[in-house]
Amino acid sequence: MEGFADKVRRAAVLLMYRRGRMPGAREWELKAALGKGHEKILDRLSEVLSELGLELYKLRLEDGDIRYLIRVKDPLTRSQAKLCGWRIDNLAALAAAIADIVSKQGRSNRRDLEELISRKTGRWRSLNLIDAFVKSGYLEEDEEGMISLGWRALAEVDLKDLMTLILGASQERRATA
Amino acid sequence: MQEASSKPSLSKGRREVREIIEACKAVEERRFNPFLIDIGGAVQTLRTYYPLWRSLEDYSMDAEALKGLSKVLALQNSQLLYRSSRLYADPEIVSSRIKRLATAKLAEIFLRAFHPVIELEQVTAPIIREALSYWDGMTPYSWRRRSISLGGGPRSLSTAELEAMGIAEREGFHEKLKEIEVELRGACIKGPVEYWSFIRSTAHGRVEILDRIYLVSFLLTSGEASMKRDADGNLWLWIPPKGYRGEVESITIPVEVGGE
Repeated sequence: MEGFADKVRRAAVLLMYRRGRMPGAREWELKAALGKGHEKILDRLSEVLSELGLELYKLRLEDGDIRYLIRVKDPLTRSQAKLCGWRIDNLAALAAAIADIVSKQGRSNRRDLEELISRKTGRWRSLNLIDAFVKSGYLEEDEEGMISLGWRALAEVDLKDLMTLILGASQERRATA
Repeated sequence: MQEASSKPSLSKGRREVREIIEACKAVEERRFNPFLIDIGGAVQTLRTYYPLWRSLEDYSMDAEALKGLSKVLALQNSQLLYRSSRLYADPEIVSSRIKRLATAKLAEIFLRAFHPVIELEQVTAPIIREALSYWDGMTPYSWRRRSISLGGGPRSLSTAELEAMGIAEREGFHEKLKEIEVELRGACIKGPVEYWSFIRSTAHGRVEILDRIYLVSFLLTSGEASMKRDADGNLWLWIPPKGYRGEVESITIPVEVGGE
């Protein structure tokens, strides 16, 4: 008979290991795997994760279902981001792309986005970066060349905070380039 | 959007409707603010030129403009909702702010709103065991390649091959019709022959009976054979002389398909 602690461990494995295109697990998957009382198991897991600086995040999907993901609770420092493999100019490009899309109500023209990002990274790099962001799920591109936010941007970026911070940012340190 | 002049012309109408379509498209692609489009004026323009449309292209263009305007209206509505939300920020202001901010500062701002998802992509012992057993069970590619037949490409088939495959019949419909006509002419030498006795004379089984009924009906329709009904209601087949123009009557013959 599997104990409560075993179920918490199983839930952690289910949520951390990537099985398909997206990490995490849908609510029904967790219900099926953990059985009755899955909410209590997830609550306990959330407590354990909190001690490690992580949090259980509920992402509402387009079809109305909920996907549970584990994400970093507190913002990363620049050195931590570098350790995770992020380049500073890539982060800036992603920030610019997401902010532009949000300000245009969720959809932006690819050409406009390329132009905006190329100011920070250069023309060719902007093309590659947008493709990379689309591939990793931060952005989505439709057949008409319109870009919208992908599942990863919705899961990982606090959009309200990002917009507030960009609009309220001090312009003392202006780009010299 | 231009106001329609007092004397609307077809070419001017087409130009103005095209302008409306282009403007709507620009709004859809987020190049213009949806509130820059005067929906009322655009609808009035469409209304002015509508009586002038003659071709299908004109009507299609009119419908496209109307569809574009409805999308602009929807965007105006969603923008109003968006403006009332906490996420609202003027795209121009956001764009200029992004352009002004240094790359490092922008990245720093982003990190404050960024909570990356934790995910592990790791090979585990059970996965390695499964992969090894799959690898062991795999047939070498050189063997599999031999068993894959790519075929000899397209080629022609003979009539005999088509007949063997059941695609073509040994006899065509015209040959069968000719055969039954000769048979009927032979049977009618001494005078009319009773319909059902002719049909059943050489037929074996229900399928052949139906086949003969079908062919005889063609002979009757084409005038190569004729049919009459006697006082008892029996049907008789006979061969009319050439140029015979008798009374034409349509007769329906019920055929029982299920029973013998």
